[in-house]
Order: sequence, then C-alpha cells, then structure tokens
Amino acid sequence: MRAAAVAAYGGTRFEAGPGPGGAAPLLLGAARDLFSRFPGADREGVDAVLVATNSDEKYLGAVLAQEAGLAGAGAALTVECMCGSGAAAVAAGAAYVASGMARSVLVAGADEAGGPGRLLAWDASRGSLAGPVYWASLLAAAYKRRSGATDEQLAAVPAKNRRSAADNPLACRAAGGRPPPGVREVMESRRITGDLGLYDCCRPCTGASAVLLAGPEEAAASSDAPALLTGVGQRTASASFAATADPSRMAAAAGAASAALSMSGLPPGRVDVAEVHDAFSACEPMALEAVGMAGPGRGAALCAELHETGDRRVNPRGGLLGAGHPPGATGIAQVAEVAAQLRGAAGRRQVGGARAGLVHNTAAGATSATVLVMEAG
Amino acid sequence: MSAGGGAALVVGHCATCAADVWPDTGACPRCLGPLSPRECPPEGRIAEVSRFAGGGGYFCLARFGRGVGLMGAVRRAPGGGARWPPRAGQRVRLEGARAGRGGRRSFDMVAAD
Repeated sequence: MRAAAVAAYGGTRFEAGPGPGGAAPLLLGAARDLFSRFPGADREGVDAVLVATNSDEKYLGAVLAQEAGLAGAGAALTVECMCGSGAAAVAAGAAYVASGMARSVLVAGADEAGGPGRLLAWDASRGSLAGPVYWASLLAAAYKRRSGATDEQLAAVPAKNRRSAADNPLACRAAGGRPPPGVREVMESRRITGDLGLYDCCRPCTGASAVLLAGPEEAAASSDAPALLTGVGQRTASASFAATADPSRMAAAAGAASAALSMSGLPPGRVDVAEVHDAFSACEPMALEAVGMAGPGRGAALCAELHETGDRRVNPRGGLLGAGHPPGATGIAQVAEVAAQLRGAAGRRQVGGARAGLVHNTAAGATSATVLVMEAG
Repeated sequence: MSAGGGAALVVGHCATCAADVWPDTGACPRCLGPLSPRECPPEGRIAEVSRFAGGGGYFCLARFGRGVGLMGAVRRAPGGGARWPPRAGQRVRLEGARAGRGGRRSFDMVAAD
C-alpha cells in the first residue's frame, strides 16, 4: 500500500442561485480551475475520474473525462452518499491510488441549488417532517440538554464561520452584500424551529470543487508541497435518522474519526486545522467532540472561544454555514481547503504553522460520516 | 389505534428476535429472519423534542415497540393529565398514521404521562 496525496485542487465559486441546468458544466468548471491553478498537474496521468453528486444525471464520470480531455481514464464513475458524497469520493479515490489501481485520480463534486439530495425519500419514518431542519432541531435540542451548551455559544458558530467565509473568494456571498452577522444578530434571526434560527442553517447553493489525488512522488511533480492523506475512516450507523440511538452525539463521526486517526497515528490534539460539517450550528461542536478535538460537552465552549479570539483553526473556509452547501462539492472543498492550509497557501484564512489537518463530512442527519486526516508532506 | 387518529401503522415483526421494523422491507435487519405484519405498538417514549416555529406546537423523535423510531407532532392529551410541554423520556401514544404533506404519512402522538 502506498499513501495518497492531494496534488492539486480547484473549484467554482458557490452561488445561491440556480445553476446552469446540470452538473456537467459545473464539474468541468472545477476541473478547469484545478488545472489552471496547478499547470504542472499531469492530465495524461489521470487514469480514474470520480464524481460526487446528488444529481440524477447519468454517466457523469465519463462525461467529465471526455469534456476535460482525460482520454486515458480507466474508471469513471459516480459516488453518491447524500451530503457526504464529496469526502466519500475522496476516500474512494485514495483507495484507488493506495491500491495501485490508479496512478492519479481526479475527484470532482457538484450540485445545484434546488437539486435532489437534501431529502432521503426512502426514509418514511420521518413522516412529513422530512426536511433537514427537523432532524437538526432534534440534534440541537439533544446536544444542548446533554452538554449544557447555551444559545449564545451556539450562535457563535455561524457568526465565526460567516466571518471566515468573507475571506474565501469561492464562498457563497450573503444576499445584498450584507456583512457577517454577530452573535446577537444570529440569536435574533427569524425562527425556523424552536431550536434553529435562519442563521443556524446552511444555505443550499450551486457549486463545484475538485482535487487531484496521486502518489506522493507523482504529486510532488505538480505541487510544491502536496498534502498527504494519512488517515481515512468511514462509518455508517444507519440510513434513517429515526434509528439514531443517541441524537446528542455523532456516533458515526466518532467511529470514522477513531479509524482515521488510528490509521494516521496522529492524536486529535495534534490537529492544527479542521474542516467539519457544520450544516447547522449545533453540528460543529458535536463534530468537534466526536473527532476528539473537544472534550465531552466542551464543543460549544470551544466554538465560542474560537469566535471571540479570532482563531481560525476550525472551518477557516467558512464551513457550510458560511460558504454554502452544494452537497456533492462540500467534502471536496473541505479537502481542498485543508490542502491549501497545509501548503501555507490559504491567504488571509491561513492558520499559522498548520502541519496536520482533519476533514469531517457527514450525511442524512449524521447517520454516516467520512473523516480524513491530512499531513504536510 | 385510538379514536381520533388515522389508519394504524403496520410494522414488520420478527418472530425470531421480536424486533419491530419499519419500513418493513421483508427481512429482519438484526437476524435476517422473516417478518410478519403487526400493528405498531401504540405506546412509545420520546427520545428528543423540539418546537415548530411561531408557537405551532411540538415535534419529537420517539421510539415504539422494539426498534421503531418515528418523527411526528406531539400534542397535549385531551383533558390534560400529562406533563406539558413534552420532554425527553416522556411516554407518548401513537394516534395513527394519516396522509400528510407531499403524499408522506404523518405521525400524530399524544403525551401520555
């Protein structure tokens, strides 16, 4: 087995409006951006193309391979895992590289605002409460009850992440160019449910991201400092949110993180920068506890502290709350951000001295998760 | 199911391990034994509860029988007598599964203790 590395990355800007009427042009846009940012990336060496999307369009791997001029591609296929599709596709791509089935793999994800993928039609146990805000409200209520987290601490999550997103040129812009909200504004925003206000919810949007995975030696040819994928963990607890044993904890994320950190040999305390799946405010502290970056019940306090001190080590990209959430693209954008951080190329978002990073991407009420550990090469 | 509710919810019941399963996909996910239809046990317990916006009442995740988790609205028992507002751990009674928005069935629950 050999390690996989992120040799290059790119993406389109996330937009609140509808897309071009299909995922294919978005995927191509992300691939073009990747190859223009990293002109040393070897297109001839790409021998697998993995697409992450919730779109109903067929054969998108082959479509992207043809449109991007990757004529030598072997495998070209779609990976679908609802909101966790992006990191799941990166995990699959890493396995292709590590096994030797591919020298390098283009992993691209895209979705359009209003596209399918936010509702699991199969899950009839949610009744007519099928929308994500209902499971998210129950998670938030359960987390607050267990941890004692205050509404003010949780409101720091969108305040922090929307502030960070203002420094991310690919983030979805706020309507009307409004400045990022403060904690008070988050708390006073229009109620969606008793436990969620408008700013506590990520915005579905249109966008695409791409990363190029390769072995460390091949990656070094296209990037001055490729980020190594040293740990990969995946867990699926259930398909239905109603089957969740304890809605105050993210059991799938904890299992995935344990596996990924064990594979890498990195203790969670040595993670310098993390992109975690903050689809709703309470998800960020729950994720930080699940991956071991915060102690039990301490996640919300950590988020509030990060906001107050301007510490960017969690969701420097702006997270889903700040940057927007095209489901297929999100996990890949998270990987791209951590790769940029480990290269020291994140601009105003840079976390000083970042050598190790973590990505957490989840799906369908946190019923499944992928966690990736990345380290500077 | 009690009066006032909709049609009963029929779940799959495993004769081997006594699990209740819904949706009923024909085989028990615990032991892969065959399932037979059974009306969902009407008494359940709230795992977590939240509120609709604008004072529109409460909704919850509750567990019924051995393994059936459902999300639905929970309302006060006629005539009172049960704790209100509802809270985690409280018993609820499933009134039934009625036609809901978008063609999906809705689950109505009533606070029971």
